[in-house]
Amino acid sequence: MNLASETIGDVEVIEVLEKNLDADTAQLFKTEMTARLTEGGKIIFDLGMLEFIDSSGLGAMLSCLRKLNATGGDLKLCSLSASVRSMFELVRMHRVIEIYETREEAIASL
Amino acid sequence: MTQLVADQATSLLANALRKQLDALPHGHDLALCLNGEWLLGCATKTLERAFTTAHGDDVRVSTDADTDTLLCVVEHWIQSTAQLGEMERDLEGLYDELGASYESLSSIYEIGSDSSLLLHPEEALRRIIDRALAYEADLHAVFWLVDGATIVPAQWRNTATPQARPARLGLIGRALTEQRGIIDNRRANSDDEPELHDAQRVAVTPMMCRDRAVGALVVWHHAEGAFDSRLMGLLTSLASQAAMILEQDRLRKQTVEGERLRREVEISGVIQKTLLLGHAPQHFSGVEFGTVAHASRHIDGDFFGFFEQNAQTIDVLVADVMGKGIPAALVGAGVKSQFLRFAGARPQRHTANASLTPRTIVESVHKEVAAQLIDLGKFVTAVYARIEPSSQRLTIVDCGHTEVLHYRARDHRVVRLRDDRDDQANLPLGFVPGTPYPETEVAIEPGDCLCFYSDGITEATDAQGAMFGVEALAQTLALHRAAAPQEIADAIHVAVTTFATATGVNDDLTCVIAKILPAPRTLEFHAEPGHLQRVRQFADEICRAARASADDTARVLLAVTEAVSNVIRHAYSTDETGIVRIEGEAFADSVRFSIFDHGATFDRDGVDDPAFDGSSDGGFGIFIIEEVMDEVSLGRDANGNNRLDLRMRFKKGNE
Repeated sequence: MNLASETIGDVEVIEVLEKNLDADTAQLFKTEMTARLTEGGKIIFDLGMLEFIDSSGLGAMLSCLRKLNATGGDLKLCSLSASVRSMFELVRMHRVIEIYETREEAIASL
Repeated sequence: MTQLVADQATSLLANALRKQLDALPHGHDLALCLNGEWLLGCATKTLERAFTTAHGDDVRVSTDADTDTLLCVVEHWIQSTAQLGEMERDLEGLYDELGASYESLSSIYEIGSDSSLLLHPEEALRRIIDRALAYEADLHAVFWLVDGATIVPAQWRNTATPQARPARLGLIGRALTEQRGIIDNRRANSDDEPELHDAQRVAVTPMMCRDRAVGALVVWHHAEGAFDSRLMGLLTSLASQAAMILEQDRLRKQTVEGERLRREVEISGVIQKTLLLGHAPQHFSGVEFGTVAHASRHIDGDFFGFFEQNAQTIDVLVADVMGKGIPAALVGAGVKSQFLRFAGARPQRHTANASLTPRTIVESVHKEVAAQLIDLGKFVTAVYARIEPSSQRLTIVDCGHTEVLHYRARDHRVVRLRDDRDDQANLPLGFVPGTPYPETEVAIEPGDCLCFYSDGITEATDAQGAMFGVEALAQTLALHRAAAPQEIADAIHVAVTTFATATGVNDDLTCVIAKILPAPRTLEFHAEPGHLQRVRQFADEICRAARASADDTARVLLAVTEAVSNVIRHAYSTDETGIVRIEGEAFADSVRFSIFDHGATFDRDGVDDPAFDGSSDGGFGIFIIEEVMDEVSLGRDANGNNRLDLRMRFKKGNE
């Protein structure tokens, strides 16, 4: 799983350097993320590279969100392509996970 | 006493007995007597056994072979054959019932052509609802009419007087809104539709008139069971008839008010739209249709229809009644109902190889209508074609109609499919009773285009009196061959009306374009998630072929990925040796995918809706599939594999 991480203040921005997050890759993504998440962490997933995400990928992200929320942390998404964004809207998860146009807007929100 | 009189059963028995004879020791003989009539041999034998079959037939078998065992074998055999005969007879009964339904349509057509009875549309509606009721014992039915935003009952049977209510409610509301027939065989109680409270199964068909739902015919049953497409076919025909009668009644009343001329055009249009013109199937695998159906002021009785025989076989009928006006249209309706009877609505269990041949269909129809047509002094030209894209075969029965044009992709030529027997071309229907209607068979290939048309197309005239002609039609067909079938049909319509600008089009213009599509593409792979990328590539290629928008393509890719992931994770529960096969097909307005596996069967009812608050991860996959795809159905293929069919219709550009 290709991930790049950058810490800006108390916010960790994780850039997902993958094109696909489907049943083939989502489990690995979930495992790696679970290892990284710290209690009460403020995390941003930058999905700028991502071209395709399905319900497995979505499930992995929801799992991260629940873990962070449970410990007072938060998860935001940014830089979604049109098709990735429309998938979140299709399943109405844009109401559950906050989505921002740019990394800067996402950081400012935390 | 039940008599084993079906011809098939008798000949089955006799044939089988002959086989038994062959097996007898040399020099011995066997005789069979059925209900007192000797079918084989006669009663001169030494050993004889008499018995009654399970269905009450008296059978006597005698032989001079000195073995009692043989008689026992024969007896056993006859008992089972008698059962077979009974089954055959059940099937015949089913056909008769079906035939009776369509005969009643003919009788309605007779009512329609009798102007005095037209004054009593209630009588016509009463007959129609009774016909629907006769389909099965203990049915309940209501004929609803739409009045603004409410529906009011016009006729009802076996139910308390229904009350008018808002038209949008419940299953009927859905049928009216979606303008399509709906069968609900697992009815859940609803307070919206009180008369349906105890219904176990319901069938609703909207009554369409000029593209509006003007009413609905609803039948239901209080016992469990299953309504099927056969009933829907009948209801649809009945609803069309009712719509026509009501519309004629409405227009007749208006005629009295002095709008006769203008309205006659409408009547013609209504008859044509509701009754004479079939809806081309949008999604038949391997062939796609386009149609032109332009009704002239002096309606000329053109009609066409499509009959799906099975998944590989579809029949097209294009016909033209000689004569004008509403009488011609009604004759068309009567003849079409006979075609429906013989070619349409065949019982589902009737398999491909047993369906009637085009020749038999045409000859059967002719047998029914010939005398009537001759009496009326009318005749009908028609072409009946069977298209079998997977066998690359076209079978045509011509009945004195215009020549079918065949654009051949192989050599880029347009060929006129004229009858080989030159001057012995077939006669129109209604000329000579008992006329044979032989078939012609033609090879077809993907990319080929067939053009069926009425003479209104080729005989349209310009200012100088020249006709549009078959040549110009062939050129138009060849020029637009690469376009979608509906675009080809539209191009032909434009070409003809442009040509005839000066004189105006005075005749019906009818044209059916059938374009043969490439066979569906398939992709087969082991149930490993690593193949999902390939699956999307495959789906993307199908979407490209169908010229889907980027947005639609993205949604299709998502839904197909979800469906295949489901199979990998659940059907095979990560058994990576399982095989998944996808079939993809591109249409002008949609894409179709079928996904096959031989793993565990998916239980849709066992999956709950997803948690939209993000509290759990499950259920999103199937939600996405159903949200994205316009048609989702689960079933099994002929080999017992699980089969998931998905279809997405593209959103129109202006939406």
